[in-house]
Amino acid sequence: MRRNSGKSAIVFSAVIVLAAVVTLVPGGAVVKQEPPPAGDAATIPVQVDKGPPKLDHALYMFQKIHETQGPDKAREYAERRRLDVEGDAVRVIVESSGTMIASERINGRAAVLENHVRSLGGRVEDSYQELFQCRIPAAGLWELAGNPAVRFVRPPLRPHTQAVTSEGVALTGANLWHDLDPYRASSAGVKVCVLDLGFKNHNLLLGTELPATVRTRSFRADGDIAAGEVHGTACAELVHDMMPDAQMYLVNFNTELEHRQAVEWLISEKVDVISYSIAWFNAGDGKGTGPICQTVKRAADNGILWVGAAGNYAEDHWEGTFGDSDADGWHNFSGSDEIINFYVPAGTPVGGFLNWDDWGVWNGIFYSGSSQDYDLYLYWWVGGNWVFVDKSENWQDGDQWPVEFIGYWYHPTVSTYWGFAVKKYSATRNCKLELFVTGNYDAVEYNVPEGSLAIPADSEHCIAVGATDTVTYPDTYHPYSSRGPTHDGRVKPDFTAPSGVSVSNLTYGYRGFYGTSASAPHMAGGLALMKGKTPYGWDEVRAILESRAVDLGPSGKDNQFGFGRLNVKK
Amino acid sequence: MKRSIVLLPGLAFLFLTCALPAGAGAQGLGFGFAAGYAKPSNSLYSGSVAGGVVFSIGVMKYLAFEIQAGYLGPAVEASEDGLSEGRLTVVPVQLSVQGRFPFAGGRVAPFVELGGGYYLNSFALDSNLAKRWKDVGFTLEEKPGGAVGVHFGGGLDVFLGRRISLGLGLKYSLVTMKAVWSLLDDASRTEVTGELDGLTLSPLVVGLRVRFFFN
Repeated sequence: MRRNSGKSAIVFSAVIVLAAVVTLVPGGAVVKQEPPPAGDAATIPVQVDKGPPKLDHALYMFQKIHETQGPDKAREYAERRRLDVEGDAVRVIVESSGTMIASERINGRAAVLENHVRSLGGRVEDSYQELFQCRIPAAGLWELAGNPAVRFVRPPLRPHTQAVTSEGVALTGANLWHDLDPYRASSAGVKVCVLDLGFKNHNLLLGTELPATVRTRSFRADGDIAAGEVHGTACAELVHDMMPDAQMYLVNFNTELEHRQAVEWLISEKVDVISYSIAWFNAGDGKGTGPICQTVKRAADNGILWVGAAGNYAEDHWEGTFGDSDADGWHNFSGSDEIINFYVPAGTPVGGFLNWDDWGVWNGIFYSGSSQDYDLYLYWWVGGNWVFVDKSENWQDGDQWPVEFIGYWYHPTVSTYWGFAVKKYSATRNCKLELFVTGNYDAVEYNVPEGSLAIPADSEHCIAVGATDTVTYPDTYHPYSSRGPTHDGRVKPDFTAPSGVSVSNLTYGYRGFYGTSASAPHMAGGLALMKGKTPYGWDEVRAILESRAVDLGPSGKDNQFGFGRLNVKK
Repeated sequence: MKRSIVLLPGLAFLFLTCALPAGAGAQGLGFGFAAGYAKPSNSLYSGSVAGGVVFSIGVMKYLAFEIQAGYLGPAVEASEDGLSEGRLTVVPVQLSVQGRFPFAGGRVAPFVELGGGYYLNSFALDSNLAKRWKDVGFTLEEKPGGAVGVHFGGGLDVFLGRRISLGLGLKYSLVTMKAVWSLLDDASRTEVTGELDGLTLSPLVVGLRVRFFFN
């Protein structure tokens, strides 16, 4: 019995030893290949190899790798350390020592250093006071650093562009997503297009405010992607701020046909999101039909999410049913007042767009047309009287659109009041009129903010975005931001998003980008961000953002804030 | 040095087996424990400690049945088509038939085995990963399902007496599992789910076991 116990003890000892061998060897420290955790670095013996005291360590390693592993490895190292290498020569700054050596006193410091650099196979590119910018072959770095006239050899300091990030990124919580790896999705696979009028200066912002590479295409007749306009560039900056990983397309146009061609091309490119901060007037009935809304529908039918600015026209808008209480043929805006007036600062172009509810039937290409004929007249206030300036008297006798337009070519030299009047030429019913004014300094007389959506914000296929303030009074409504409903009674906009945000000085600058033009790219970027990081489909992403929106104004979706301000955090 | 660490206990083990009394050849009922190391064939899964309990029935000198319930817990490295970063827990319940070839008076019995089993799998996402998604308002889950597998292997049992044996074995299992993943928006309860097919586990287990017999 005792003998058996002794044997058992021996056997169990052997078992333990064997178990230890089997279980520990695969994970033991002896064979561990993985790098230590950061916090454990101090416990790992490191062979110190600092190199010459007067040579930057990266430059020292560059020469060492060049000599021990060859030029290719040295260039790889240089690329990692962002050393500026041409061939085998690296650009350095040589700081000369304060005291001159004898030869320098005789020949001059620059000459002595230049001779030394040249003897090493390099060259002096530039100098300023004690600093010399040189190109030195890898093999000469250590020797140069040993020159008693040299105080230190280092890579040049690197300038960095000041990055400007929209304040809307933090407000919406987009920043929380930026370091999150996509889950069963591909951020880089999301294509976002800013479809706009011009992208001036975009080329100067590549790699900083914009992705390093963007796809550009102009559908303008002159092919000018810049088109003297920074608006598109600023919008692209905001999309990039919100969704840095997206593939970005910058596409511009100038006419409605170019617009259509641009969208066809974007469909062929399988773009996912169009950020659209452009407005059209007199281009449809306000019920989501017409050529521009048709283009939006065409994009949506092909899987593109169209995110559009609601418009900045809430204070520029009037609508109401034609009324002629004094039976003189002119619409009475209120009582006997037949002119709707507004104040225009000197030099500001004035315009007016009138349409009414007699578009007929939209067949996907044309409206059947109007037979109710109204005309538009422009006046200005001079010497205590309204003086006639211009008129628009289109025919509406069956085929034409129910629109009149007096355009932007008036640049008054004095600040004064201007006004529009509407006259019934031939109509069998009192139509519902809608007037958009441009150039007004503040809200037009008899302002009706409701229904002031620009086209195509009225489209059911467009996610229409209104503007809220971001910095000064966060989440307050910007009074210019266009409101719903659409002319067929749908609640719009769908969301509001930040405005009054900072972009680069090459566009609108610090806190300089206002309007729903700034809001739409935030929204587009937010949608693309969530789509690129998650496996949700567009409908689900949209539903999630609807539920996360910061509900402002009346509870639920309303005609001022939509579902609320864009919010991508929980 | 390392070689001697491995060889010395091995030699000691062989010496002891020769000095032991004759065994019963594992006939009758047996119960025991196993411990070892498992390395799934999938390179995304780390090796892990393995362990379990064993029930055996020796029906004749050359034939035995064994039921083993085990455990292994490999860490998982994320991949596009596989699980995310985290730790997998696998509980295999295996039935084996063993062909045994005792010699030295039944003291030593090499064996080969073949069988099948059901693998109960669970998965714990890396806590940082889960937290980062939680921070943006989503609950991320990945749930592997159970899987059927087959295994084969062999080893050596050494009987230290009529009622106790010590064994060293190697077992390879062919197991492929499926998993479902889900991402849930905590606010809207909008959920997206998907399946992961063809997740190869197939562990190779090397281990020791000690068994006690009731014959």
